[in-house]
Amino acid sequence: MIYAYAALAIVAAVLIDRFPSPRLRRIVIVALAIPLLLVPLIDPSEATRNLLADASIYVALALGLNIVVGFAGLLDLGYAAFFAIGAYAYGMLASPQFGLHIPFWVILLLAGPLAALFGMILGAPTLRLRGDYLAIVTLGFGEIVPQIFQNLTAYTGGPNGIPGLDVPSFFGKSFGASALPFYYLALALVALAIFIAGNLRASRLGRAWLAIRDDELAAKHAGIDTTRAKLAAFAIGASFSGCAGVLFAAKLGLVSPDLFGFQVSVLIVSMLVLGGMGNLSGVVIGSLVLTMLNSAILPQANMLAATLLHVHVDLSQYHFAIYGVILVAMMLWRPSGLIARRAR
Amino acid sequence: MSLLDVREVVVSFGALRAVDHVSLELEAAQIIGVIGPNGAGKSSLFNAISGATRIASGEIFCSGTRIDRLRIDEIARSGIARTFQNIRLFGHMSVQANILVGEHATLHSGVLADMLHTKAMQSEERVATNRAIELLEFVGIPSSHAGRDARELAYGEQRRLEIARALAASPKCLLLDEPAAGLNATEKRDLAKLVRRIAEMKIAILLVEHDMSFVMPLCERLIVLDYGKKIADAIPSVVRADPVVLAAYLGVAP
Ligand SMILES: Nc1ncnc2c1ncn2[C@@H]1O[C@H](COP(=O)(O)OP(=O)(O)OP(=O)(O)O)[C@@H](O)[C@H]1O
Ligand SMILES: [Mg+2]
Repeated sequence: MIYAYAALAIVAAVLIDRFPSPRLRRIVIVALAIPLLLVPLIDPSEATRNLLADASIYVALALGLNIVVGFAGLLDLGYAAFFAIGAYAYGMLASPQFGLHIPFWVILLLAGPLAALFGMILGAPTLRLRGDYLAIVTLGFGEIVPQIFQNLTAYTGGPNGIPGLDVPSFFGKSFGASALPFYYLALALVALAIFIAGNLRASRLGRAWLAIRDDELAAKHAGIDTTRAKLAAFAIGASFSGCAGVLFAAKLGLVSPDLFGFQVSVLIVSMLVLGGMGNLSGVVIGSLVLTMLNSAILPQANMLAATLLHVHVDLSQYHFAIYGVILVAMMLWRPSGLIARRAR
Repeated sequence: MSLLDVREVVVSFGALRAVDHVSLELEAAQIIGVIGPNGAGKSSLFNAISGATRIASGEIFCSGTRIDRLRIDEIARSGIARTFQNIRLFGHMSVQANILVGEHATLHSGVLADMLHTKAMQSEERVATNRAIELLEFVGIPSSHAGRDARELAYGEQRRLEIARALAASPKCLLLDEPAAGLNATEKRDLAKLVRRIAEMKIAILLVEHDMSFVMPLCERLIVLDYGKKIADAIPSVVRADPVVLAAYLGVAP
């Protein structure tokens, strides 16, 4: 079932870019969205729903980072920081930690602007940096943020984090223990991210980003205030990460600093590289493939190896090695991603 | 005061004075050529005017406003557009998008409008796109190329696209750094016509070029640089006969 879903989503993503007429494209999107909404109802196992919710959260994260890396060309290796900020916002404001029980929906709405603000604060010092230097500094920020959450023990529960977060409710009806509402919310976030990113790409600001990515000096000579454009990219990209963080924390019911380390940032960057930076359907595919690899394919492969070859391995322990191989292979054979970007 | 007024500008790289107390004035619709041997400081002068290089001393005014302390993008918005000696297009963007980037400062849609594609934003985009196609045809690139990646264009077309992108900003003053470099005779003739038509649009043009047969008939005046210094500033026929200029080019004492 889960593979059927993954295959469907991938076909959907490929097709969306292949239809030149916007009207046709809209019809295809709607036609393909219906099964996405129905899949968890057809397969009601909680494991599937959970996986779907996680996959969608990662797609939203990847779409957000794509604005920063894919559009504006700013290699941000600390993107998980904003995911952490969103998650901790929920952790601190909707838990027994301070006895604040601010409604989930309020925090979800505020997480976007909050993360955007931090996106600008952490982005501002990096504006003059490019390429490797930018990557190193953002990597540092990505490490510092969870470290701060870890060290502010009085507020954040330190290394143990904050457990027992409020279970959200919708018009008085609690989400309960099901991941289903989170799946639909994450799907809505993905839809919003695709809508906004798609619109931005074909706009004055989106063109400014692409221009900066191609040739920053020429972009300045064309009258683009590159400082503002970059800050906008950091802010918009971070806001999706912040919202995804709230969903993630509320779904898990706890936050702890080790959930938002470097590996998360690397995972999201890998998703972009795999799918093709700057390309929306590529990004969706890349993030789905990697999530599926992590949560479905590797465990299955473990079982296969055990039954067929009588080898007992835990391949998920090697998932970073596997990403590494994928990244190197992509760089060698398909540097523009699985779905090559087309001119626009 | 002139449209572009460059006064005693100095550009230094360490001990080297790439531009050494150069002054010039440029009026709307005027075409002035800047010539000189390799390394004379022509591109450095352009970089100084367009803000890519900070000047060590001197002043630069554009329609009466002092611009030499401004950022590159501010200078661009104050009405100075340029092309580059080594073509600098946005290679991975479409031909049309390159021109639309040039129009950036003339458009007004904000972040929110861009996210939501509001009615106002869409109508502004339609006008901008039409203008981009017009500019494309104005510089002589078939509009059927509008959707192709800029890097796929032929060399001569890339040079013209760079001019179209610069014009898209509706500049008062256009700086062309060796626009004819690498072009064949026919392309050069077309380019000369194009430059004249741009000047007719009341745009002031400052043009660096090595090819004398290109510059002579086109420019109203020629400025000659040598080792950063202005060694001549006159009409082309006078410059051509100037012994100081000949010496600079041939490397002998006048
Ligand atoms: N960024 C820089 N750093 C150091 N020196 C530079 C720099 N840019 C230019 N120069 C030096 O300044 C001098 C003038 O260079 P410039 O490029 O302005 O000459 P040019 O007249 O445009 O020459 P060409 O005809 O070769 O384009 C040269 O000696 C060059 O080496
Ligand atoms: Mg030069």
